[in-house]
Amino acid sequence: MRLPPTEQLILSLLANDGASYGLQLVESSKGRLKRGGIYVTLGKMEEKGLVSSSLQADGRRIYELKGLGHRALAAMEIMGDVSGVKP
Amino acid sequence: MTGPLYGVVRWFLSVLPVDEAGRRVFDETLADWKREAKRASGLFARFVVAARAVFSVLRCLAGVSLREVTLIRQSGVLARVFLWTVGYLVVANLIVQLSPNHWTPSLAFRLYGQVPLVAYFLPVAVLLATALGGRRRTTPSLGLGLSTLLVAVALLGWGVPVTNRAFLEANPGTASTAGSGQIDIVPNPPGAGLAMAMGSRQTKPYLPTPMFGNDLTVPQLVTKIWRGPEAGGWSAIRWMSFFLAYLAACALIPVLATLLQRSKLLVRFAVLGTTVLVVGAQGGLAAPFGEFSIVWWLGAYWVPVAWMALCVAATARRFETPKVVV
Repeated sequence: MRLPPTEQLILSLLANDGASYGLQLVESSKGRLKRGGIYVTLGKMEEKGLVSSSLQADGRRIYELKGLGHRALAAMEIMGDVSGVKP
Repeated sequence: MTGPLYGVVRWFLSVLPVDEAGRRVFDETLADWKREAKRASGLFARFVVAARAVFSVLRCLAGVSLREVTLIRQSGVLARVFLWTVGYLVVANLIVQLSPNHWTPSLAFRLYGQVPLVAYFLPVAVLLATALGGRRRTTPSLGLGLSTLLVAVALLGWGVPVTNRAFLEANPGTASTAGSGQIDIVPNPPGAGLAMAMGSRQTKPYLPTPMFGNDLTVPQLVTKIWRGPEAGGWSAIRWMSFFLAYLAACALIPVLATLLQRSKLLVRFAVLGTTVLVVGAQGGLAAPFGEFSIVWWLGAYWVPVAWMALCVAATARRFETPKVVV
């Protein structure tokens, strides 16, 4: 299974920065991820089991990599897939 | 401080019937807006935050709609839209066939006439298919709205004008007395339909010409508007008003229909019946009073859109997303 570039980028950012909010991911992507749209992508990734989230008191969710996400990232690094999406 | 814009957008998003994943996207986007608004100091900073947040909301609406497009097949609504449309076509063709008129519909009329019929019935088919069925499964109303809108653009913007012109050309129309002196009917050459539609065939803008009888595609209508009133520009503007209102109605109908699914039986059928009538009469709404008021003949087509928006607002309560019990 080949992941879309946006999902690859999110995996890389979460691996580098640790658990993050959606807006933090947008900011650290330097314009490659867009506000609003990122939550649709994060929802899809959660359905796939790549990331998990927990609801905070202010209504925002914090996202972190799950085991499958770590493995997908490692596989992509081996395949050289993440070269273009390094944060 | 978030301000009244935030309240309006939050209310608008809360009444949209979306599934749990879509609701989460909306909630998170709004939470970001609230947090950034709290941190913004000064009028300009608040304006920047609000502008950015509105773009975020539009982007998340587009994202949720696109995601829902992939769920339409599972919802079963496509099969019901198809059945309603086929049923309507059968009945409409039977009425034409059996009506006591003095002409026999030609094969060209029967063939080319199906496209405007489908375009006319599309919003009603989506409304009936969504509101009268599939209550056990969540209807992806935003995705359905987006899909209906795209089909409507293709049908009304290109499909109907092209088939209408093909119908014009399929009918021999030019009388000639050349040669023997007797009147001969000369078949129209290819392209004559476009020449007729773009040419001097003018109607007064307020006359009740059938809206699904338009012969020009969107770019050709824009050309006609550009040429000015002498070349029938007002008629083209009038048709564009109808076209945009029809598209807005197509996008709004699945939202209203999904809300009606969860309304009380009496309310559902009363609103459904009235909406079918209002949407069905959309093409003819500009006829009465249009001669006296430019506002009416441009704005009349928006009556169904206004009606549906009112119904959505009236049934507005935060949409209860079906919970999955494990």
